[in-house]
Amino acid sequence: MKKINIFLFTAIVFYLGFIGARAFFSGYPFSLICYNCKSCDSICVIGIDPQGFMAASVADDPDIYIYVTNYRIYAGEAEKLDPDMIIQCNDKKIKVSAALNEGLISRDTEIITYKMKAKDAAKVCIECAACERVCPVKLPILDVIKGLKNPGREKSL
Amino acid sequence: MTPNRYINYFLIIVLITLVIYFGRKVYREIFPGDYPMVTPTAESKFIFGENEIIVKLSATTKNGNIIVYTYGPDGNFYGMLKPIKDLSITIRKGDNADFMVQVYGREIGETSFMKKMDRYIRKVGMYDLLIEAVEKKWNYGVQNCLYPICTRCTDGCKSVVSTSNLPLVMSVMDNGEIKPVFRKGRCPRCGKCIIWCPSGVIQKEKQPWEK
Ligand code: SF4
Ligand code: SF4
Ligand code: SF4
Ligand code: SF4
Repeated sequence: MKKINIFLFTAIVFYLGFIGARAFFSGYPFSLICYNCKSCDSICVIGIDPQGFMAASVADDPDIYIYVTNYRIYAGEAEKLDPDMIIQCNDKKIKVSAALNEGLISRDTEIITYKMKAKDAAKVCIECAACERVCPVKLPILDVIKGLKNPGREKSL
Repeated sequence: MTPNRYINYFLIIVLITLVIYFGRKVYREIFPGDYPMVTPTAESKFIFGENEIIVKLSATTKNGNIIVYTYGPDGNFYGMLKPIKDLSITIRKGDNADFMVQVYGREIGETSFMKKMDRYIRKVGMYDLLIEAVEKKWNYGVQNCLYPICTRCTDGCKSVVSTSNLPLVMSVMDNGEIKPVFRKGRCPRCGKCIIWCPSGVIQKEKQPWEK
């Protein structure tokens, strides 16, 4: 029993250490404080879930897909940004490339997004800072967004 | 548990706190010492068609989006954020308003946002409302300023000027547009509104030799 406890304790310490280290290397260790309270995602008019930016920092991965449920964009531009972006089309959630291939939309159709990569969501964010205003732990979400927008500015992300 | 173990836990917590504290970037801003200037919105021409309205613009915006607004039968301001393509915007049947702002003359009241996450709480068709606005001669148009989605300039100003009489206030213009109005005398030129404005509507005032 004691051995199992030691093993589990070590595994947990390593796992937490790994998460902490990734968040630290992303340049935004404060993102670990985000407790996914969801206050920010109901405030964003273009439907971004800003908690996704925090998740991208914790994972040090700007390519994770996050919700952006109300952004209007032309299909051609969405395809250029990321052909695997998920859009809302006739009440279906579908990849923009698939919707174009199936002829459901043309490149000149204005579509509404559903999920996109965190780095692309940062590009479409209008920096209104509404999410920052409502964050109960006052996380500087815009700093993360700006880092994702201009990856050169940061060591990582 | 031995006291040593408690000390270890305590040290781990202190270490994590220190990492987070020093890892957090210091928020630095440079205040330029200039008065802000509110720039005008691009000119627009609305072309009304059977199923869509095309809006031709004289210029694009900093982030490629613009607010299309119209007033409704209740006298309130309805708007949606639209992407600009080749200096034009298309409003189709089925395009719903993103927000509504109560308007009392030049004053602004409560704002309500119509969409939460991926569903609408209230659907107001912008195409039909714009057609009605033309018939009934209500104000409609486009607006560069992202209010009410954004309130950064007035928020920034409130954090600097500790009086209810702010140098920068949101106001309703003659054409129904909502944008900040600036009164020079009370402004200590902190520059927050210039730096924080994401749409480029607020810029630093041009000096006579720059004009
Ligand atoms: S700053 Fe960006 S993510 Fe935050 S509420 Fe505004 S548009 Fe949404
Ligand atoms: S409001 Fe702050 S703590 Fe809550 S989910 Fe958003 S970023 Fe995380
Ligand atoms: S005091 Fe207000 S209006 Fe003047 S520069 Fe600062 S934020 Fe802008
Ligand atoms: S900061 Fe700029 S976009 Fe935002 S409300 Fe003020 S003028 Fe409008």
